[in-house]
Amino acid sequence: MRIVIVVSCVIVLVLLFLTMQVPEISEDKIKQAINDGQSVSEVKDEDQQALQDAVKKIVEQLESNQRTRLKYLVAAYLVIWLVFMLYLLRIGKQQQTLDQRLAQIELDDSDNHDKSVE
Amino acid sequence: MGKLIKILLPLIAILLFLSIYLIFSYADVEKSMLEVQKIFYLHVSAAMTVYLAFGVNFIFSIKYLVKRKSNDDLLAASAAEIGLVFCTIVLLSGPIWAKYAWNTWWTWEARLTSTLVLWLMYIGYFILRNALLADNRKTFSAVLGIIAFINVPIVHYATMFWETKLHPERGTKLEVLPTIRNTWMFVLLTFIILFVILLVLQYQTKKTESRYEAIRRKHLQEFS
Repeated sequence: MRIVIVVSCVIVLVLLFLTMQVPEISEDKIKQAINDGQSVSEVKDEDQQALQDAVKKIVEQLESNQRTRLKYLVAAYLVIWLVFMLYLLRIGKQQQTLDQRLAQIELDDSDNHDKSVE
Repeated sequence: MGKLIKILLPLIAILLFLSIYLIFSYADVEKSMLEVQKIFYLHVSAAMTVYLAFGVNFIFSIKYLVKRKSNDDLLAASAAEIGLVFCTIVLLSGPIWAKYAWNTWWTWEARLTSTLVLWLMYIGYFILRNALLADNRKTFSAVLGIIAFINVPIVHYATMFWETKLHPERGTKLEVLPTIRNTWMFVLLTFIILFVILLVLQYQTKKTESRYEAIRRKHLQEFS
């Protein structure tokens, strides 16, 4: 049972690690995109600042949306993992309690047998 | 049984790792729901496993009523318990999906409502099991298991029986990318194997429990 719990913990950690690996769009890439956009659409010099602001705003919006989606995704996976873990712990605990009770009964049995022999 | 578990446990660990790898690395990101769609793999697979678990409960409940063997009752109860766990997963992961897709945690839509009713019916199954004494417990819970299973096809065909715009109607041809379909099939297979392992574990526990009850009853009779 412990192995299952350890393995599942590792799975969840891997999962969280994977979801954290979403690459953020770096400043360099944003600048590159702006330059590319300017060369294609022949933006006038006075509009360059406005274009840069617009691209940055869009990138920020996209990243914010992605963060929101990932929050939902991680929340769902965590909830599922938690339900499984609680259930496995419950089975483990139940089995342990029963084993203890059975051992106790067997012990009582042997005590009674010894007394009757005496 | 113990040997089977020893083989199946590492297998399920590998399958779970592979499932997560496939979900996050192999499967394409769906265009409308983007990353949130990845909840679908576990949500739908869990829902399918619920059908399987309650189906097993249904079969062994009938078998118990016909043959009156205690082991059938224990298997039926074990399957129902695992089905309830998977149903809880469906009911908890569904609202997270719903919040993003429909902008609400819960709506009284046909499939959601029928799934909640299914969950409540099996909760009732366990309340009944705990409330009754041994012999009555087995018979009554077998009868309730059979009655509760009627709700499974209702859940499955809910979108056909009642008009709903949220879950896709049955028979709707959805264009699914092969990577998404293959991943889902793999996760479903993993969940089915997980169900088998949990069923074996739970069955063993319930068997030990019934053995303990029998010994305790014998002891009480000897004392009295």
